[in-house]
Amino acid sequence: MTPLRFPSVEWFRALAARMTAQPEKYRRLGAVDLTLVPRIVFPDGHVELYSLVFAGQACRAVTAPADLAAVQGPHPVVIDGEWGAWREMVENVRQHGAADLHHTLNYLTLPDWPFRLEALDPEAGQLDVDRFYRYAATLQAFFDEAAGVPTVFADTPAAA
Amino acid sequence: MTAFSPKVEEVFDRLAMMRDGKFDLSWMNANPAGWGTRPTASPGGLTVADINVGPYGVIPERGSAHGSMAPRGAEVPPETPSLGCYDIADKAIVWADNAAELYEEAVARQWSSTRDVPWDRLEELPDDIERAVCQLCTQLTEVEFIAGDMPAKWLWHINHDFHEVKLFLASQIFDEARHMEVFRKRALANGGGLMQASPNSEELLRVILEAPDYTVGSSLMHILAEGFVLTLFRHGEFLAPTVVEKTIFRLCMQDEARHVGYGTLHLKHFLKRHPERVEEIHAILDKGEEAIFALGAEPQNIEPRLILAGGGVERMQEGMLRTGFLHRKQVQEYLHRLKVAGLDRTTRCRIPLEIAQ
Repeated sequence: MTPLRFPSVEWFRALAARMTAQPEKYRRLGAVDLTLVPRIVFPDGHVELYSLVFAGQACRAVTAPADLAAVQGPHPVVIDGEWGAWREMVENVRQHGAADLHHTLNYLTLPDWPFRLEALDPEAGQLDVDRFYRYAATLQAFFDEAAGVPTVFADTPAAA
Repeated sequence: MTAFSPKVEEVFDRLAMMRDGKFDLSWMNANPAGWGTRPTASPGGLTVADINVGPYGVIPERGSAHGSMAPRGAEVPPETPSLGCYDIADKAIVWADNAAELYEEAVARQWSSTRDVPWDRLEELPDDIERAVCQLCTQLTEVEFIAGDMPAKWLWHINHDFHEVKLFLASQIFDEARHMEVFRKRALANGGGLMQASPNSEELLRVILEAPDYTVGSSLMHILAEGFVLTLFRHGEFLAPTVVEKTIFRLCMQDEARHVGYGTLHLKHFLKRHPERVEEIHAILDKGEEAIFALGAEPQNIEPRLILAGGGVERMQEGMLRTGFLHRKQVQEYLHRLKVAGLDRTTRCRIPLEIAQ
């Protein structure tokens, strides 16, 4: 399989495909009703934004909205962090087969650093962030799927 | 020969009629308005919310006066006796718009502390770390079932027309049973054991159990106490020395977040309909905040976390610095949830947002 660039729509879709391919595993973890919006801030200041729409036991849609106003999907929650932290998390998952004790989504978001959670809908506010906690096991399993996705990182120099 | 009571004789008469081919069948014409229902199932299956269609989807502001367990939407024969206990009939006292959704989610996310925790991956830990984990688990074993006992105290008063709430609260009671079970198991699983109970916890538990009515108790328990515990579960996952504790706290966190979600939307529903009772909610939260703050300084509550955060009893002050963010996070999220519910306590909150480390 050709390595996929992280981050990219194709890379997140590969995670979604792995989720879909394991219905029994994700059925046991329970349904999800959330739009997770990874926001990745690169050292040069540019930002990449992805929208992962989870419904039931699947990630139904992956897009790259132009900005936060363009995010569509129920209960949008942004997970915001710098590129280095995103890269380290994905590398850690790939190295260990799943996030180790210090690279789980909860570990990285609890102190609001290196990742920070924010609800996009001001009326739902904390209630939508609480959804991230309600679906913790599923979301962790989803990102742990990175262990099976050949990955090339965005800042890796292209081969000559 | 035994003489049977008139009630039993009546059954014999009915059986005799049926043997003669004389059936009643009047029930077949019951509830014509409720006949012919065809709900549409959600993608994941037929949910409690999916079947709230037509007359079955009408949730009355006041529960039925018949006082029985007859299901909402059924025809209730006039001779149906009241059971005399379903005296919470004001929907606003118990309702939350997400109750049915949270019940479905609870059912889908059930887990087993026997099967789903990788107990075979327990590791021998340094003595101070094991003692800290065991004390933390002792504390959680002690407090977790308050969120089972408190709903159980009120559940049998709730009118059966609000079955979505009853279903959700039943799921919560089972969640808390599992929490009590899993923390007790972890305390006993790795060569340690249960350690010291917490008098300050009991003070807070008393305030919850003695709340004068369901909503007041729910505000205190679902939003304040469980909100704080939710952050503690997240912190437990953060501090976990092995994948065993990591798994336990992650699974408990999911359950607790559902309970907080119910409490938040319940308070929102209640305050919209009973704005005149806002002061009662403020008053119980005044008490609760102080009690939970005092609990946070109890040695058997805070010190195990400092040991885990610092990496040992010799590095507890370092642990204090590493957990400094936690109190702020707890209070901020608590105040945000109240704001969503329509209650602003930013200026009234009885405890500080920041604690000097």
